[in-house]
Amino acid sequence: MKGYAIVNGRSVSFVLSRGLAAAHRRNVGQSISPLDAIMIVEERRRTRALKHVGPYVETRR
Amino acid sequence: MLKLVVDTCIVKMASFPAENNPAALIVQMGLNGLFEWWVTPAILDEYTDVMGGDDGFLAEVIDSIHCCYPLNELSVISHEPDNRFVEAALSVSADYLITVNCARGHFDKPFYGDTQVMSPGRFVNSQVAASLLRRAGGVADGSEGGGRAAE
Repeated sequence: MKGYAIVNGRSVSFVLSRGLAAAHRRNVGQSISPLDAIMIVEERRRTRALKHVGPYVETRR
Repeated sequence: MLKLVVDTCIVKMASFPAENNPAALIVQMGLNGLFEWWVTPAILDEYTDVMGGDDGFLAEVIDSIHCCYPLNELSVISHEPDNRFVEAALSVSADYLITVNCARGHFDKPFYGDTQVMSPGRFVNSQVAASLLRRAGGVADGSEGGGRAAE
């Protein structure tokens, strides 16, 4: 399976490793913008942060 | 060898197919060992969290990365979690920090120490990436991608 990127105005293809190809197959038909990626990462960070403060919050109730 | 620190957003974007996916090219270059891909345990933790479900891909990333252990916690970026990437970059004197998040309060400076902040598109179009790709040969085969028009 190949990936594509525009390098210096030309579309070049490159061979994807097995794991990355599997991820592409899993996400086929979907797209992600830089903003989407940032939001996904920030959401995960928020979830993790809340998980970590959970015990503290419990003690303050 | 070139040292890179790669923001988690880039790893996430790399996992989606696209007609123009410079993030995937950078990640593939890292998996192929064309540059030293540096992380800290905190960054690796975040990769693992965000890439949950793509176990094969995550395993490849883990096999390819170098882990450093910064001694100081920095607070140079107002969005606190982003400081982990700057800590990694400064502790190994990384050449580039690749991110899409250059908004105010994030990676909003062009340099942190000697580390240059770059978007994936800018990095793959740089002379440095071109020379890496030339040397590697096998990563990008240089062929026009299936009739896709160059933009």
